[in-house]
Amino acid sequence: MRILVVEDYEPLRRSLVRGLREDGHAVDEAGDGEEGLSYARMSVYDVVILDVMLPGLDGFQVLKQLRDRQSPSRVLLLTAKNAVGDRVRGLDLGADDYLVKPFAFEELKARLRALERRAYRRTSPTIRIGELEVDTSARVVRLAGVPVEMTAREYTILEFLAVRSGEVVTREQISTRIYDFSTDRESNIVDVYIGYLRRKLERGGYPRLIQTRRGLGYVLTDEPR
Amino acid sequence: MKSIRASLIWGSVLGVIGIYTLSGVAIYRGARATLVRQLDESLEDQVRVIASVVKRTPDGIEVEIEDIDVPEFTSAAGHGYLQLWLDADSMLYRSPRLDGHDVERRPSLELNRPVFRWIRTVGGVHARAVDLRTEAVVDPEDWEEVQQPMPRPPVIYLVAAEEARSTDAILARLRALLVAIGGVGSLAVAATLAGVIRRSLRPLNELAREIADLSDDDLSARIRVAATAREVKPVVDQLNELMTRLDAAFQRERTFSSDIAHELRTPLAGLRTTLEVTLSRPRDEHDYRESLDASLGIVRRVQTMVETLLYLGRLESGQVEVEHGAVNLCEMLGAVWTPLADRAQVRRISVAWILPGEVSVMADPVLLEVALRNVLDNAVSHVDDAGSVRIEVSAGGDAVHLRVANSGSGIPQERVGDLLRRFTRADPSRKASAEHFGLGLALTSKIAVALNTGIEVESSIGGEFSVSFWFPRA
Repeated sequence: MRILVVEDYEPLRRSLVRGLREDGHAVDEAGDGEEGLSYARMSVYDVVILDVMLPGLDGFQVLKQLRDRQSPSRVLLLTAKNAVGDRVRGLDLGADDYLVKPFAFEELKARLRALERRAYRRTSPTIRIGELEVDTSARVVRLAGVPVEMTAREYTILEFLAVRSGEVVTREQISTRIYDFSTDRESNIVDVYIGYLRRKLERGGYPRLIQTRRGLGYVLTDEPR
Repeated sequence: MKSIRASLIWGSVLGVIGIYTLSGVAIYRGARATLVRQLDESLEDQVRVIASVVKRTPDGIEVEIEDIDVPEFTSAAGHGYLQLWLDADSMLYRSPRLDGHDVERRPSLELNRPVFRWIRTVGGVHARAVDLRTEAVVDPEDWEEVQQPMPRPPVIYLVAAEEARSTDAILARLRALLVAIGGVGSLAVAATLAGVIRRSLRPLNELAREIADLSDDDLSARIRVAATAREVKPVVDQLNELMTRLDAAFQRERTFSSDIAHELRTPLAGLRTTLEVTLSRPRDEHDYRESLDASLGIVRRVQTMVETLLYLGRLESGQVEVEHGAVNLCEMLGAVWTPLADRAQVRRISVAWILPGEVSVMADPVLLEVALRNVLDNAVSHVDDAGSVRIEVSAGGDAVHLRVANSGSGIPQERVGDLLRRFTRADPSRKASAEHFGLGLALTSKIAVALNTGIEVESSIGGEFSVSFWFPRA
């Protein structure tokens, strides 16, 4: 997932970014509302993790501007105030979820996964394509019931394709999801990862699930061409 | 406890009784005086008529009392008495009712001036008497007939008395009437007043009910004043104003508690996330060390904040002892500045010191140091990069003025008041560093109060931000 963390308290922001990156997400960070908005202008984020009490533009104002601009990003508010009024205001302004500080990092990750499922209108955390099973809650991939070892990045790309199974996904779409602004992009890195994934998924003679659409990109499907 | 109703009722009833009594007495005395005057006038008329029939004839003194019709004096059944003397003791006439008794006479009496008095008759009856010394009649014709020179008229003394039965009866009736009217009137007035007062005091009862109905949890409730009396309205207004002030004070405390919660929750979230992320997978020693360093940093900042808050709380509740003594201000400024000098150098801040040499002020050295550290730290933290900090001490008369100013202020003058409250960050556009919780200036202003020192904060956007103190010179 491509995630933007807008949080002014640096120690929290740094740990959030580190944890989410280690989880395979592409994460950008902003220390105040203005900076957060300018990041949101430059790129499309799956989720914006937005602190409410920000210096300058506060979280509510940032949220309002995002929604005024028809930003499709899911917004998860972080609030230090556990007042009903604050939560209601946030949700009414178009936030998708909220967490009260201090929170468990595991809970934050679970909520991010739930937001992603909602984004693709899936109710079940498990996606099945032929023999392939992607469990997005446990972040486990199985082929015919046997778990497949994967790096965080490989999993992120596979999940990205799985939630859009049957749709053609461009290389650019994949690379913006897996790279934040702090990473140097290499043009063929997506192809390299697709190669890794195919090798793991086709080991044992399974049919090719990640298919190339020349000039367009990739599609994850169990229907042969 | 004193009852307004009881004192109003008793006060009014006693007042009404007093007024009734005074007017009753006045009416009674007026009526009595009129009646007695009428009695006196009639007595005088009669005694003068009687005097006119006492004649000095050449044959001697004649009392022709039968010529006039005064049966009340002359008849045995009359109610009056009459006794007549020739001035020198020889009695000329005595009413039959006197039954041989003499009426007392006044020793000296002016001629022709009647004098009235109350007497008891022989039968013990209350009566009005008049004493009159006058001259007997001398008819010139009597003396022409006998061709004798007319003598000087002799002086006679008359006492006439008339029983005052009817006057006394009228006065007795009047007395009874006045007492009856006074009693019944007082009762009626007292009852009316009691009712009126009870009704007038009803707004107070309603007010008490309204106050009793106010809930402890909801300080935003107000006493309704729509139907209350004009006299009660100021009380209601004052109570409502008090409620508003209480509500605001509680609101401030609630905001403060929620601010503390926020200020604590955010570093706690940082600490928890840092530890959880670190523990989520095996790491090398460098990573662990880095994470522990970050955690320790957070804990230190929370500790600073909690200690500052506790100090502020103790200062506000007067638990910090203040002991004034002579403090060398310039020396203390230098000592407080030393740990800040490196930071100022790194940020390329130019620092100007304007000191008049040795100046001592009267202050508590511990509190003064905390205040100076706060103000200097604030200046170094909030000055723009490569900006300037100016520390100026000037001594004039009994006062020493300290002014600490920095360039690049980010706040307008109208927000300066907020800074003196807890948890207001000086510069909203500045990213929050946990060292600056917005407590510094609040603490400094509280210390200024504890030190009994004037403090003034001035600021203009893009211009200077300055804090001034006025200390008494030691």
